[in-house]
Amino acid sequence: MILKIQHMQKAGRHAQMEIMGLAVIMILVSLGMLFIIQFNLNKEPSTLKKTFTQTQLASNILGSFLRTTADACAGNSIGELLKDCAENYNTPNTQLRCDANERSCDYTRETIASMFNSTLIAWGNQSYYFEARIPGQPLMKSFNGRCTGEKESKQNYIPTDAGTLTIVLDICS
Amino acid sequence: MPRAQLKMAETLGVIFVFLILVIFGFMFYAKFQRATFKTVLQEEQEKRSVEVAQRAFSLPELQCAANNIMIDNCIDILKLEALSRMLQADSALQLIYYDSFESSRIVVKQLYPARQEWKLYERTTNSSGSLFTPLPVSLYDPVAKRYNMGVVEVTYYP
Repeated sequence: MILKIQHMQKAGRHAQMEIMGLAVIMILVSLGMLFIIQFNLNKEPSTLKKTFTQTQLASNILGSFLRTTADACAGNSIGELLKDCAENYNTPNTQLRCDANERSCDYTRETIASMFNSTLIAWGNQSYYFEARIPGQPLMKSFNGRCTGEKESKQNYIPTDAGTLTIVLDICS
Repeated sequence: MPRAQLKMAETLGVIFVFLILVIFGFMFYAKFQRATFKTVLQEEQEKRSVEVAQRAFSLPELQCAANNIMIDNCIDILKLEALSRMLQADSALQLIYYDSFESSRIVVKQLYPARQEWKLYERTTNSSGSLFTPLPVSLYDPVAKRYNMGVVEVTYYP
């Protein structure tokens, strides 16, 4: 009788172990499935349009901007004004004068800010970083937000008497 | 309870659990498929919106030219005014552009020196969403011989 009870207890424990094993397998399989589904559902949305827009924005804004004829600066383009600003940065009195006796550097700085306000900032507060510099001398900077992640960068170089003028525009994600 | 009935109940229980598992699996699969379909659809719509924006941006009717050489990233204001006027006056003419622009709204805006706007094409649908693509461009004024800053705004309705 005692032997029979012991045998039954052994068999019960064995069955319990089997059920535990099955339960563990089921939990593992469910967790795996959940991870796969979660991974697929939370996939990054398509970046095709974003990439295209950022690339076009960076290159087109800088290109159009430098080509633009300044309204009040004797028909000079913004690119020419930047060149003048670079060449005469340390001697402000020799800088080209625009309407209201404004110097080329100041006029360009204001125009840049106004253009970015009506483009990148108006189209959804897009983060950007703009800089114009000659070797060892930053001329002007304009930025919105922080550029820490991915960015689309466009550079333009203009030869000047003060060295190569580098104009950088980063459009940030 | 007779042994046969017990066996039957056990079989039914197993089938029940199995069916529940199958139903759960199917639900997950359907959800997964729906998400995949949504992504593919979104990608396709974005692709089409980019295509429309590119077509509008490089429309040969509007390109600036100097000595018969096209200038990149530039729209001639006189050509733009003429095309805009023609398209607004003759809605049948818009149909010619439907193949290129589908259901979209294309507006060219001058941002500097003065603000100005030319509506080029408009054919909207009842679709709830839209995809907006702004493309900065130079606007050349051949009369004043000056370049202005502008933007081609393309709103695509999928």
